[in-house]
Amino acid sequence: MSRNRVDILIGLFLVALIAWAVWEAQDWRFRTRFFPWAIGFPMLALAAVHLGLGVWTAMRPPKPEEGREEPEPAADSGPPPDPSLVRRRTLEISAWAVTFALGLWLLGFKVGGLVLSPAFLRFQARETWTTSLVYGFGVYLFFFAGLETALAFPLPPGLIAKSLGLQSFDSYLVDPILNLFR
Amino acid sequence: MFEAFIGGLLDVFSQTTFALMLVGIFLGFIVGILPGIGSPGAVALMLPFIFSMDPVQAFAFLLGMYAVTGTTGDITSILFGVPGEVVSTATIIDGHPMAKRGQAGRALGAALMSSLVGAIVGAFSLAAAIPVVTPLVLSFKSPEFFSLAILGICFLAALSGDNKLKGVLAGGLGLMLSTVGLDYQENIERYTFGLVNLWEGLGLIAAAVGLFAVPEIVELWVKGSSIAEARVGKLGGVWQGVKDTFVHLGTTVRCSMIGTFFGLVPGVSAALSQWVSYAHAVQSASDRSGFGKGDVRGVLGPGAANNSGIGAAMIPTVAFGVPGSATTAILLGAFIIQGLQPGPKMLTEHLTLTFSMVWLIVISNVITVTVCLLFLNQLAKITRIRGSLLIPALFMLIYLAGFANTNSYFAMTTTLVFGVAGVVMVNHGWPRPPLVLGLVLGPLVERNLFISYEIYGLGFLLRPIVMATFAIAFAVLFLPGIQDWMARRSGPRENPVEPQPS
Repeated sequence: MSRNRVDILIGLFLVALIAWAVWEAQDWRFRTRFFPWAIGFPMLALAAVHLGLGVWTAMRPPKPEEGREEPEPAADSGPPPDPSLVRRRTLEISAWAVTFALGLWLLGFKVGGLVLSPAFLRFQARETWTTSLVYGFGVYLFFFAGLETALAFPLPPGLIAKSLGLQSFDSYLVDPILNLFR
Repeated sequence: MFEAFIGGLLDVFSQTTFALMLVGIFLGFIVGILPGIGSPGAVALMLPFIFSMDPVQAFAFLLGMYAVTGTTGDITSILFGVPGEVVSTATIIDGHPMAKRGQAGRALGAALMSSLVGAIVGAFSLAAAIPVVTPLVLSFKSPEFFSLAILGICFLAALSGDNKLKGVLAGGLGLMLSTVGLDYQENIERYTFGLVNLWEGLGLIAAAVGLFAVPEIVELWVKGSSIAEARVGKLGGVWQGVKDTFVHLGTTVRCSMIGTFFGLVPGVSAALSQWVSYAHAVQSASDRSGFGKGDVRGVLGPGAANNSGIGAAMIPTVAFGVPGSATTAILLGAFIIQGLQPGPKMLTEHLTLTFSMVWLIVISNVITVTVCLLFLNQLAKITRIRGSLLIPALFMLIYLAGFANTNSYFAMTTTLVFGVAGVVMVNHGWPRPPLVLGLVLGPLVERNLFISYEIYGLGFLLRPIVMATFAIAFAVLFLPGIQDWMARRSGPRENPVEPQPS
């Protein structure tokens, strides 16, 4: 999809979003809606102008030098990557971004980091089991020793442990070991 | 006064005070390098520990931590494109492209040395400006604060090259998004969809990290290589970066002065001073074609402004009890804990302590920069680690940043949503900095706009400083276009290339 078409879509999205925001504010008290309207109406006008410019650019016949809209590659960036590979890898990493968010929410940072980092390294990046596991323990140590213990930064257990009324899963293993040294 | 100046220095070098400052520096280094755990949060977390300290020790501990967070925050901005602090975001625009080109050492050297110059300028401004700054600060009322914030957004929008409209739209969108949450005046929910988690707003750090870091992670994976695209034999360039600071000393000092000015105006975000400094670095350059692609001046400006604001932000805090930033607002708590009253007494009875603060900021920065310069080659080598090994750590850090912002897992959703927005914006030429600045300044703009309207009606727009500020904003946005148009009418000429910080 050309950049111009995407710009039109983004323009449409912005007009709809801002129009909704302005509409939503109409029932609020004056103090509450003052700023959303003070910003919203000029923004709505600007978004409409942007959309109009996009549509106008798309509809007018292209000048000879305007046929290509792809940005020029940087001088040191080498050959452009295969678009299908770019698409596939973008989808892969997006899926992992969601997986990390979900995993951390469900398992908490310490256990989530311990599980997710090696999973990514082993199954997606094809690193060795040793590298993956050492990395996972490194992440766990960072959260446990660096953040929770040294900086007293609270890292609550994930949703699973919380809904079962348990402490963070790792504490059942780590606490008895620590108690030996206390 | 000279006696107090020297007395302040000697107090810093007493054994316990110096040791506590080192502990503060160490903690500040970690806090600065970890995205999302900002200096306000860290200083707040450490307040309970100062009860048993005397005032100089307490401020050595807290200021040691505060003074270095900005400096080390630049490190992750340059190496990973992940801002360690919100105030380190502008450093990404040129610092990270330099790292990608294998010039991480040079970029870090420049950032650190300019930070040191900025810190020294800011700290001695604190010492020198106290008697003269009062009328300036007191002349600023809500309309001026409002216009200053709008000017900052216009500065950034102007840096969007041919897409100034996109820049303005992005800034306005940031302002609109800042209204999400409970209205602070009436406690009415705005755009929360009934979600309690949105009552506190979208989470600035979660949004900033999502916008800037997620596109970097995607690019890292798509590229399938390390952060540094160009291989260099030995990571050099650190001293080149240090030298760059002095080659462009004018830019560095001017940006330090900008940081100082913005730092001493209470309530104006330090992030704004960084962006305005970046804009100044671009606009004062004769050849702008390298900006946005890895021009060292784009690192020097924000680096200097960032740290000069720290000393300057202490000026209104110490002299008037008016905090100049979020962290100094929390530091006010330290004054209370220590039984000190900010105001005239800090300039008479407790003048030695005030000068100790000046020295603490300078010495903390000297120590941090020295340590960083010694280990910079090791830090810069991180950019040569293959991307697949960095990605899990970066994922953990960005979600930790989101989480730490509000202490809720919900904020990770904000990071994710803004991450998607960031990828779309990068791919389709929409500038991200105005959006972040709109989010940062939204509450300030809203509060000052409302107060201005309530007190002055629409007449606030006719106040001299407001009119002057808006005139500058207009010029920044439209003057280059008008100049180009006039130049085209008078005959063909070579157009300067505008940088596009995306």
